[in-house]
Amino acid sequence: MILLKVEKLEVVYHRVITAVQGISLEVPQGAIVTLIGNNGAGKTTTLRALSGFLGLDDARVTEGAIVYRGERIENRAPHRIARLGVALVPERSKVFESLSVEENLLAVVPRRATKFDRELVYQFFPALVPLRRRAAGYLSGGERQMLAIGAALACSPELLLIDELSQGLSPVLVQELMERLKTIRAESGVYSSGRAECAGGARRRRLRLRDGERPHRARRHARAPARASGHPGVLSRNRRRRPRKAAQLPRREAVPQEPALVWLSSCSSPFRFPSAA
Amino acid sequence: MQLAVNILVLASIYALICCGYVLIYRVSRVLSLAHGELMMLGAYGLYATASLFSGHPLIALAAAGALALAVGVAVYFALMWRMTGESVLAAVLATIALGILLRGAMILMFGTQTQHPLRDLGWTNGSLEVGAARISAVGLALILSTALVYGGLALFLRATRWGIRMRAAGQHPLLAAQRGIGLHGIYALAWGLATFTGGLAGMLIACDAGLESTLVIIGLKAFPAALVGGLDSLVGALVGSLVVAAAEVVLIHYVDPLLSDVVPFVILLAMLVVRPWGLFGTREELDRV
Amino acid sequence: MSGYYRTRYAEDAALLDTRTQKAWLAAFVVALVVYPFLAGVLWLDLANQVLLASIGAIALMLLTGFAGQISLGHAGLLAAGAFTTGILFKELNAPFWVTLPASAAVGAVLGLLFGLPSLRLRGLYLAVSTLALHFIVIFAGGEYETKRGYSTGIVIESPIADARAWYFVLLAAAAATLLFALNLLRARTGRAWRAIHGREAVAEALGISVHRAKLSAFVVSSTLTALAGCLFAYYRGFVSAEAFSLYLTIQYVAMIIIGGMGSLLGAILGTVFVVLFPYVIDTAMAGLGLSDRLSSVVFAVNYAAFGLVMIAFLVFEPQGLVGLWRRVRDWLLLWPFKQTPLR
Repeated sequence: MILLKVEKLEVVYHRVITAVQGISLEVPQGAIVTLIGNNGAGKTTTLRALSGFLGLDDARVTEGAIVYRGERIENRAPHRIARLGVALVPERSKVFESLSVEENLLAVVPRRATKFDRELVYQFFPALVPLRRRAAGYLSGGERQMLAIGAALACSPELLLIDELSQGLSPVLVQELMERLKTIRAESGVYSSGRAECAGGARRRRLRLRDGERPHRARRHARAPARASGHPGVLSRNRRRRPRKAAQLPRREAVPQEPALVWLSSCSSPFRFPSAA
Repeated sequence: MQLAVNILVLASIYALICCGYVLIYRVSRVLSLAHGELMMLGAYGLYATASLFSGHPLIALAAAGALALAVGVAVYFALMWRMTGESVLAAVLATIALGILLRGAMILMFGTQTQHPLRDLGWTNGSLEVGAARISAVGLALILSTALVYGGLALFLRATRWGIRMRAAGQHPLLAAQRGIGLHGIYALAWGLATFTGGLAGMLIACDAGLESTLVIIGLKAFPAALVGGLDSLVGALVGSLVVAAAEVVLIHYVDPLLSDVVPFVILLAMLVVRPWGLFGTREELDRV
Repeated sequence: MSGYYRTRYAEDAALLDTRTQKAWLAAFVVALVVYPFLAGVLWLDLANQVLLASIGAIALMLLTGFAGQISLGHAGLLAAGAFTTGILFKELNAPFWVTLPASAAVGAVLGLLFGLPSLRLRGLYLAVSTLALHFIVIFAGGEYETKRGYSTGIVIESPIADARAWYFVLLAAAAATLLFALNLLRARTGRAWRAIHGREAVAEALGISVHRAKLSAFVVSSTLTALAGCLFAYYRGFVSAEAFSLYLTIQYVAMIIIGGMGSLLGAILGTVFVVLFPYVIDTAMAGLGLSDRLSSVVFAVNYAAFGLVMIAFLVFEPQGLVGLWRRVRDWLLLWPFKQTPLR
C-alpha cells in the first residue's frame, strides 16, 4: 500500500519565493526512496514539508497535497506529524548537545500505543553503549549521526526521513552505517541508505529534483533496464529545458513481510550509479 | 552575623523570583518582564484564599499555590503562544504590557490599601534567634522554600522524562518538535512553574512585610540577579541572587540606605560590560532580536 | 501604485513629490497655525502635550525604529535633560539660552554612555543595559533632590507662560526635529543606520563603520531627547524624579510600536494616540457613569486599558497605525480594483 503520496507540491517561502513546485512522488510501504539533487534543488524543503517544518521559516505549502496513510498532513504542526509516524533526521542540529546520549533517547515522545525499547538502539549501534553518559555535543560526527538515527527510531516511526545521511562522514563510516541500517531494516523493517551508490539492496527508487520541480509521473510498475547513459540521478542547476530522463531502476520482488519503515533520503553528491542494482 | 542572615533571606527572595525568569528564558528564549506583577498576583491570590478559607490556613496556602500555577498556564495560552512567531522584542514588550495590565487590574480588584495576609491566615510572624542574629519565621520559611524549590526543580529537570524534554525543548525547539515533544505544553508548563515560584515569593514577602503595590519593584530588582548568574542557568540564579543580595545588604548597612534600589542595576551593568552571558550562562550569540 | 515614478536622484531624495502633496502640506501648515486661535483650552493643552512628546518619540524612532538599537532608557534621558535644566536654574539661575544647550550637551554625553554597551551587546542584552543606566540616572536625580532638600521636586520659572505662545514654540521645535530627522534619514547617516539595522556584518563589509553608526544613533537620539526633557521642565515648571518612571519609557516605546516602527509618520501617529489615550479613557468612563466610583483609581484604569491596547496592537497589528494607514491608502488608491494580499 502507498504510505506516502505527494501530489504537485508547491512550497513558497516568505510568500514570494517558490522553492519547489510540482513535486509528485509516491512511497509504498517498505520502499526506499532517494531524493537526489544539487544544492538549491529543493530536497531539504521537500523533506521539511513532509515533516511539517515549514512554519518557522515563514514557508507554506501553497498548492498540492501530502497524503500520509490517506490523511492530508501538509501544513500541520510538526509534533502531530511526528506522532502520526513520520520522523525526520535533519541535516544540522540533529541532537541535543547538552543532554547525554541516554537523555537524548529519553526525550523522545514515542508514538501512542507503541513501545520502543531503548535498548534496541544500543543493539543497533553498539558504539553508543560506552557513550551513554556523555554529552551529545562531545560525540564525533559518526556517533552523532548514529544517535540521531537512533533517536528518530525511538519515535517508532513508519516513515523515516533522513536528510543528508552521509554529509561530513568518511566513506568507511558511511558504509558501516549502511550495513547497520540494513540490519535494522531486516530486523525491524527499517532500511535507509545515504549515497545513491549505497542504495543497494531490495527495492529502491531514485527521484530527481531539478530546480525544485519533479513532474508528476505514473507509478512505475514495469521492470525497465537501467539506463547506463548519463546521470540518471544527477540534477543540474541550469535552466535550459532538457528532456527528462526517467530513472528507471530495476526492482526486486516484494519482501514477503511488510517492513515497518520506509525512508526518503536526499544526497547531493553527483556521481554515477552502477547500472545494475 | 545579622548581616549574613539578612543576606540569606534577601537572596532567597531574589532566588525564588529569578528561577521564574530563568525557567521561561531557558525554555522559550523570552524575557518575561511581567514577573514582578505575577509575583504580586500570587500574593493577592493568597490574600483572597486566606479570606476565603479563613480557619484553614494550609488549604489557603495550597489553593494559592495552585492558583498561581493555573494563572501562569493561562497567561501562556491567552497571550504568549500568539507571540511565538514574532520577534523577541515584540514578545518582551508583550510581557511588559501584560505587567501593566495586571498592575491596573489588581489595583482595581483589590484596592490600594496594604493588606496583611498573614493575619488572615491566623498565624503570627515570630522571630527566632540563630546565634547572635534574629530571623523572622517567614524569613526562615523563605530560605527553606527556596532550597526546596531549587532542589525540586533540579530533580525534575535532571531525572524525570518531562524535565529532560523541557531541557531539550529549550535547546533546540525544532528538533524537539520533530521528536514528538509538544512545544506549547512545555512552554505552558514553564510559565506555570515560573508563576508558581514567583507567586510563592510574593506570598512569603507579603506575609513578612505586608502586601502593597510596591511589591512589584522587588521583582524588577531580582532581574539583575538572574542576568548576573546567566539567564539560562538555575545554579547561576542562585549564585547571582547571593551576589546581588550580599552587595545590597552590605552597601545599605555601611554606606547609604537609599542605594538599595540602584545597587542591583550597577552590578548588572558591570556584568554586562565584563561578561554579558553571566557567570554560568551559556555563551550564546547575543543578538536574540 | 499611484503611477508616479521617480526617475532622478533629486526626485528620490526629495521630501515632497507632486504638487498635490505640496498643496496638502501648505493647507496642513495653515491649519496648524490657525489651530490655537480656534481651539479651546483643553484641546490647546492636548496639542501642546502631543507636540512636546513627539520630539521624544521621533528621537526614539530614529534609534530603535531605524537604527534598530533597542533602548529602554528613554525616561532616563528625558530626566537628564530636565534635571540639567533644574539644577542649572536652581544653582546658577541660568536662563533658557544656557540651559538648552547645556541639556543638549548632557544628552550627548549620556548618549555616548548609553551607546557604549551597544558596541558589544545586541537585542535583549542591550535593552537591559539601557534599563540599568536609566535606573542609575534616576537614582542620581533622586539623590540630588534629597541632598539639596527638594524632596518634592524642583520648581522652575518658565519664560513663557501663555499656552498659545507655548504652542508656537513647541510647534517650531517639533517641526524642526521632524525636518532634522527627515534630512538625517535621507543622508548618509540615515542609510548607515538602516544598514546596521538590517545586517551588521554586511554593513561592515560595505565599509560602514558599525561602531560609529551605532554611537551616532545613540548620541543624536539622546541629544534630541534631552532637549525634549529641557522643554518638558519649562513647560511643566516642575521637575521631580518620580515623573520619570519606567512607565514613561514604556509609553514612549508604545508610541513607536503603536505608531509603527520604521516610519516617522508612525512616531507622530503613535504620539497622538498615546497622549490622547488617557483623555479618551476619562471620557469613556464619564460616559459609562463610572467616573465617580473609580475616581480614586483612575490611574489603575489607565494602566489596565493601556496594557490591553498595547497587547492588542502587538498581537493583531504589529505594523501599527502606519500599517493600518497604508492599507487604507492602498485601498483608496486601487479603488475600484481590489487588492488581494499575498497569503
